[in-house]
Amino acid sequence: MERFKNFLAYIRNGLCFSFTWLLLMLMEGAVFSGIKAIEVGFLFKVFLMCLYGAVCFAVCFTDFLIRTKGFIFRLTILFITFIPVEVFTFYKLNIFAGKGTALEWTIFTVIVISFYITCLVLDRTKFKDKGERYTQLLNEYNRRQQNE
Amino acid sequence: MRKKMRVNIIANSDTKEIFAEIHCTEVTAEVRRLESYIENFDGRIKGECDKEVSYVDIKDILYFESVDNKTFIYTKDKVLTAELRLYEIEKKLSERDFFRCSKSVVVNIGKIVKLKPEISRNIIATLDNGESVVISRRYVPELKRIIGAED
Repeated sequence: MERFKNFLAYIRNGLCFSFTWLLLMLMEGAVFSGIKAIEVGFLFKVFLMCLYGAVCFAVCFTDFLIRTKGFIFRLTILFITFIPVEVFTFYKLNIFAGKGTALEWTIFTVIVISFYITCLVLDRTKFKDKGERYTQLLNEYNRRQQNE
Repeated sequence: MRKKMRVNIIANSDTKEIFAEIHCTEVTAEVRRLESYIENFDGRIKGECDKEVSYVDIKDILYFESVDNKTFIYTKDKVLTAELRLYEIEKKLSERDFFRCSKSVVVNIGKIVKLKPEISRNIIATLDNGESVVISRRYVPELKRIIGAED
């Protein structure tokens, strides 16, 4: 029950954060491109995308369904489940004004991939070394405890 | 400076069971700690599995987990229900290398074979049976203190 409550709290927080952030971005975009109104239907679709994203995030980053997996596994699942839907929604909602230009989609792809690669590199280098050091200290501690 | 504790072992063929007596000038917290340690030495925890009560050696326990107000004992080959609450187990076994690693888990440090820190600041601990438990970021400083890892 506790896990489910935590899962719901993550969805609520994720939805509030992403929808507010996206709404601010849309308003800012509308100001710069001279759009005077945002349709309710459009906002509803953005809301659905944020809700889906928040559910994916909560599934991946709480222990409600995935319990003992590492960060990279969770991030990979999030990207696999959410990024295709995000791309499809951006395309359908004309976020990039029509089909968008190659440059716009390239920037989007580079942001996603560079974020993933940064996390992967950190995990395979800095955190791996730290893990080896902690494991060594733990083994020394266990040996000491056994000898006492 | 504290005086070193003297330990006497008296072997007597007439003695029916092993017992320990602590002689001290006053009962301090340290003495209580020693008493608790001796009491729990080679201790066992009562558990229930398929409505059958059994005792599990503390050294065989991998971890305890609390789920919906019930406490479970995990060993290599079975899962039992404990009658004690998690905080009681934590208190009882804190001198026995058991460590609260998240809100709902108390793990046996002696059974951890690998530690892997995560970007999220949690640590994934792999146990000797291949299972993993998460040491949540709130409890990581305590683990570091125990094993002597300072960043």
